[in-house]
Amino acid sequence: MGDLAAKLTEELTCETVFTIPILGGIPISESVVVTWIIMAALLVISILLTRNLKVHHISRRQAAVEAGVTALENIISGILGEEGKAYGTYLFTVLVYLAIANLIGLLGFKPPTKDLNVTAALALMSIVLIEYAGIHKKGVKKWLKGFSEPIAIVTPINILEIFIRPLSLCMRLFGNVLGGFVVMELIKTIIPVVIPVPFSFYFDIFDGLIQAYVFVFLTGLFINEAIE
Amino acid sequence: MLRLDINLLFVVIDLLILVFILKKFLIGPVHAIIEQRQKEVEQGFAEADTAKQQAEALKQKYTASLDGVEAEREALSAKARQEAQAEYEHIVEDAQNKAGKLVSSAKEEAKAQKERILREANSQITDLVVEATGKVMGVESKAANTALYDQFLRKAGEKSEAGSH
Repeated sequence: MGDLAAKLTEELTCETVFTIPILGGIPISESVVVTWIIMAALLVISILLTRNLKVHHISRRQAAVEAGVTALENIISGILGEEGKAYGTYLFTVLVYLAIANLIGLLGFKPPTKDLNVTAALALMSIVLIEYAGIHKKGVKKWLKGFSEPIAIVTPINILEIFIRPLSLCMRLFGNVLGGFVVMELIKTIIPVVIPVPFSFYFDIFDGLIQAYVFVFLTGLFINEAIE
Repeated sequence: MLRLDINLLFVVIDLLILVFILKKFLIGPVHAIIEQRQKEVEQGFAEADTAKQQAEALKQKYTASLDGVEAEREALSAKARQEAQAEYEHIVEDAQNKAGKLVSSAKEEAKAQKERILREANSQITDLVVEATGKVMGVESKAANTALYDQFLRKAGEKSEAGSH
């Protein structure tokens, strides 16, 4: 059992891959490196997929790309509404990134979302975007006034929400991925054959995609709420 | 595992770059091509609309001109009929006039002929009578003779006139 604990700890720690030797050494963690790999892969895939797009007589590849992009955008614009269209590209990116990040464990990489830095960064960007959307739409004065609505007594709660929302977004994603990973490790240690397969489908694939969707859904919902 | 450090900033930067990458290389091109197609479809619809309107206008024009032709034809044929009628009446009138003139001139001529014949007959008869009377009576006096046959002639003329009537 001591062996299992050590293994789990090793899996859970986000190791520093290398250190940039300036300013007293900047540590680059595994999650950032994996993010770079995801970025590179997405860049190459995007360029390959959108090569010589045509208006007529489209290839099967182009049809698939158009259908996929349109489907994702429909999901996002369904959450954001007509007025929040400008934030669609960001949510699109987050959805794609989180889906890949949560599934990349299948390829042997350590999922970046298992690092608190990543989920915290995402949550931070989400809350900045949410508040920016509100200020952009209503103006500073009306945005500030919005905190005391519908009645003045809820003002502290509304202000607290600025911190609670990103915290809950961050922790939900981090906790789910981490929890799923720990459960999977335990199952694999106890019964290494056959049994982990259905659990892996749930924890590694389904839960990862669900969490990506939930994160984007909640961010979109908050933006929609902010610009209403 | 539970540490927050400079890597948070790196992730933020990475995500912003990723937004740019996806926008530039995936969403942008796909949107451009869909928009282009949309534009083409709309253009096609607009063109079809224009063509339809033009066809409609042409059809109306042709219908109108066909109606015009019909009316013109009607007018022409009516005019021709009228002219023919006028010509016909003119000809008939002319013929009638001519015929009337011919008949009356013939009548006059016949009358003149008759009168001439009568006059000739009269003079011949007078001569004969004068001659005959002279022979019978043996009277040579021309004046007496003339008075006598005048008298006779008057009687004969009265008789012949009464007979001719």
